[in-house]
Amino acid sequence: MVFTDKTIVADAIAQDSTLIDRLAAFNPTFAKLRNPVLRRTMARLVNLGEAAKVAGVPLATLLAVANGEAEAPSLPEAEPERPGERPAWLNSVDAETAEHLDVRAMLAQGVEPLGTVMRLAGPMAVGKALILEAPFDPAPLRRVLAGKGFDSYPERLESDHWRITFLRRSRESLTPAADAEAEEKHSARSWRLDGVVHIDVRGLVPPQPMLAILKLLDDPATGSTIIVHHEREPVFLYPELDERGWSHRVVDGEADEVRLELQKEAP
Amino acid sequence: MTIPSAAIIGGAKGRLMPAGLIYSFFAAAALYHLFAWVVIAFNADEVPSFVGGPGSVLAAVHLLTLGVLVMTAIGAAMQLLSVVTKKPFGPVGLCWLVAWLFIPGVGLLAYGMAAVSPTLMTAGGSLVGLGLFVFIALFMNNLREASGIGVTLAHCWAAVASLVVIVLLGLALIANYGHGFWATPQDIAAAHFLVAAFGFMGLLALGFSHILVPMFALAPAPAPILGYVTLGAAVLAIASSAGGAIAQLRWALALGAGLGLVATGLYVKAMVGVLAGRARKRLGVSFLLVRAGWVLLPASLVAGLLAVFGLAGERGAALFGFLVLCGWLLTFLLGILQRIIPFLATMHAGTSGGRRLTISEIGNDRAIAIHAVCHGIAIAAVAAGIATAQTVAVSAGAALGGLGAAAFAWFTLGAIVKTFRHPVSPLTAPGKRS
Repeated sequence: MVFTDKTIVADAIAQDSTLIDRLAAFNPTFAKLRNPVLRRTMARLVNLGEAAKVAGVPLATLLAVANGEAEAPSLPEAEPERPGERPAWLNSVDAETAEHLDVRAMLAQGVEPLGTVMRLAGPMAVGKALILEAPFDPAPLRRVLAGKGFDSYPERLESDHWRITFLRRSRESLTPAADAEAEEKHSARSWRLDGVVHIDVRGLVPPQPMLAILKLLDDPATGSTIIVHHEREPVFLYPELDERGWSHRVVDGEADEVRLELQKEAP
Repeated sequence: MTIPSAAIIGGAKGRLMPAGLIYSFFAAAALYHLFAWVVIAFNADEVPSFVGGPGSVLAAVHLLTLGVLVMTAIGAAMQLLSVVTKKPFGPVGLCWLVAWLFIPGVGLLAYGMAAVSPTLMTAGGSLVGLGLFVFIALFMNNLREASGIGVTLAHCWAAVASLVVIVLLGLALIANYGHGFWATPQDIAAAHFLVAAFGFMGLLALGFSHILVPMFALAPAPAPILGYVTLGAAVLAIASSAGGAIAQLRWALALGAGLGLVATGLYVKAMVGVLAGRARKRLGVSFLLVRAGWVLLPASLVAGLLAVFGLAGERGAALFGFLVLCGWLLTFLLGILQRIIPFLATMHAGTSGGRRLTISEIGNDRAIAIHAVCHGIAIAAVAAGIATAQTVAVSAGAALGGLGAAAFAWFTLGAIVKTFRHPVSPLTAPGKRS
């Protein structure tokens, strides 16, 4: 198996059990993957390209090490990619009234924090903020919450201490707190990569996948291309795409995935 | 590791049936639909007093039940079930065998009933029975180890069990007509009807509603727990009423009707909830029929309850049977078919330039509108005619029903013609845009 920037970290580890050691020797940030909770959660959500950004290492070097094409060079732990200028909305966040959650201890104890985060974030009203303390920049989590209407800004305070401020800009759905975890499990994940919108509908019960995809199509901010990560060929979706003037084709994807490229046709 | 899309295509392609196979069932259903109304129209005087037994009305009943309802269920199941369970329905050859046995078998059976010929009924019944057994085997094999939607699968299993009972009872009734080993075959016939209408067709309708209604309305599916509770109540209702019919126990029949009303209430509540949360605002004529079916289902159960207690007069049983078959099942099914036929056609139909046809290009709004109006008036007129023993109303209603059926056949034929005029590959090849 050749690892690429699109390879999910968890899949790569499953293919090569020595990968963690090689990556950890390459950069201490990857030693966190020895935490089984992280392997079960974040590692399933992030690919090697994103991992390189989180760890602040060159992608090409990471892939060479992952594929065993090069010895892990002695790179100092580099500064991670700067998240950009402090956004103006950050000034409006009141730390006194914001929700606070420190997941560092949870992760250290092997407790999965994702459900706790989603239960806290799910019912938050528009304008409310969550301040999360974590040992790394949880790029996949920021992506998931972005899909639920949260803006986020990460700040690196120490080598293994990040503070991420989330501010809810809009509501995706009205789900009671008790169902937040179920909603996370049953909601589509969408994110933008290299300017193209991706949506992962795997695990959703029909017709949820179709509904999620069509909702994306109807959003003018989506653009003209969508990559769909599905677990089956969505033949029920195709007539709806035709009606809306979108074409589709199956493209190469990961194992147990049907990946589609949807393209809006010119009028 | 990325998987070449060709591998995915190969797997998914196996789940799409040949258009000709599926359309053979739908075309046969459209034809038998027309025949059923014609037979009713020409034998209107026998309808209000019908309580069973060979003859033209029994032939019309089976043209409707086997020829339209079961026929459609088989065609739809062969295509839709495989996409839901992610498993091919079965070898195409065996599916064609089902078509070759069942389609002519229904015609022969109905003719034998109309002619009151035990020989022809046995021959037709045997073909129908054999076709259904092959279908049941394929159906069960597809459900086995399937990982689809639990609620729908549970309904399918219960429907399959009902179908086995129906076929056995039906063959036994035919045999009894020739040899007379039952003193009261009408009780067995009543059980056969109840299990057929509510067990097989009813449970399939309820089960697939959990997929099709949300899909066509673009709405979230209802909570599975509602579906499971509905199924439980429905199964108890069917068992109670069928047992009550065979054992001549009025309380069991009444209990069955009551449980049926409970199941109906839960089902309609779930479906109304689905429509309330839909993204597609305009549902069209098809959902007019679907919603009418949701009203006529409890109405038929109330009619049945009245008939059990002798409050519906001599024609109570006939009215109940008509409301169940034509009022609820046929109306609901035709509404769903109006969406399924163009939907399935888009997978195969294209233009001369190779572009895939859209749903709206395949549909026929005029035919659908004519059918809806005629069907609605037909149901009302025939029901009123049965209730008041007015043969003219039955005859006129059935004639309108036939006109509506002709319009529906026009709609079906149009979709078939467009499918085969410029067929396109049912799936997009890797790299090739659809």
